[in-house]
Amino acid sequence: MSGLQQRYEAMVRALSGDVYRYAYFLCRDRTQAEDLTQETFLRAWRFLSSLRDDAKAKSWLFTTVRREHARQFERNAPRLEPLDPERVPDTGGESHEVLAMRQAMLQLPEKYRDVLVLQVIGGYSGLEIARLLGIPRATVNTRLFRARNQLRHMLEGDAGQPGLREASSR
Amino acid sequence: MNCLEYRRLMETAPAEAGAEAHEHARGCPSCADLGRRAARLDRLMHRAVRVPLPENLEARILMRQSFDRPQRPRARHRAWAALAAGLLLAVAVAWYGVRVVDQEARLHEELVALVEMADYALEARGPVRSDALSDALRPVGLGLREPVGTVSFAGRCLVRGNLSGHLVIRESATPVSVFLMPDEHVSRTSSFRRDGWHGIVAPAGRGTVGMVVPGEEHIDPALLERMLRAVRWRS
Repeated sequence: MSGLQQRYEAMVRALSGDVYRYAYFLCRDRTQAEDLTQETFLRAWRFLSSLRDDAKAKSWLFTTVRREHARQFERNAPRLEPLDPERVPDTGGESHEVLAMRQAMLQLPEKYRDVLVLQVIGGYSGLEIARLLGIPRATVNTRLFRARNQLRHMLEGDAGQPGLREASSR
Repeated sequence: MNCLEYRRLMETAPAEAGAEAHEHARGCPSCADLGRRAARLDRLMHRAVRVPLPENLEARILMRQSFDRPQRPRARHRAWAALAAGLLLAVAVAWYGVRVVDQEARLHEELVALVEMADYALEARGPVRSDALSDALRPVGLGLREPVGTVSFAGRCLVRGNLSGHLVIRESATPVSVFLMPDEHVSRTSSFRRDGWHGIVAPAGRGTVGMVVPGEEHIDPALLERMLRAVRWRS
């Protein structure tokens, strides 16, 4: 197996989960998320010989996912109805509070959802998100604040879930 | 750190809290309570984003990659020619036009991806000596007839599977990424803006020259002229 192939496989093993999940939270559709992930990794393979620092692969992959999403789906995708927790597939026996949080995150406006999932899935700092998106750090902070604030409001409306209220109450 | 700064941090990026924030929380019960709630919300978000992955995702990505082969423009040209022979001329011309535009767009996309992947090239400060520059271009079968300016990086890359020259010219604050592509053959000069980058692709001798700069910058036509004049393409 060539060195390039080994690098590629290591990259797929390490990052395909995060890339898929980021894609899913952008497009909110499992099939589209997998298509985006496939396309992104295929592009990564084609340019891998130009990538010297593997530590930068994740940022490149996330940026590519976001751009591909914008190109392929954003303009043509039908507006999705507000998501219903009952319709979220493959719950895998997760608790209601996790599903409700996922649902709430998926309902955030895209510009808030994007910075939040970059922070949570990507593990990026505010400064790194600002660089990735090419926007000022202050804008990132504002979006993060609003995203978290909206989540708290959405979850506080989920009556009968003490765990959520505890997590989100102020 | 005061209460306002702590609160701001907890409401935007609690995971970025450092020693100073923790010290503040230890001495401020209300901020400590806020911090605990923010951390709880963060933990819940981290669980929420772990959506189940499609079955065999890694294997499917690797399988698709195994079928990918570098695109060979020359082979496509031959295929075009064979197909065009069997079609009406007008249809063939129209179709060819669409393909040319499509190929141009793909090349633009490729150059932008290369600039972003090979960010070390933009970070290099050089200057590259003329002998090192020649060494970098020789394996591609290219040479330079005359100086092209201050080169801060000289290397090679694959453009659509074909070995190409990759230079960065730095004569002002803005570095210009230059791609010398002996296996690309475009019929006209085209400029593009894509993903925050601005570029130009031009036919040159037996190959193609591509240049890319950050989107807000412009490409000096004199530099393009100089490159077109200076490159000695392989015969």
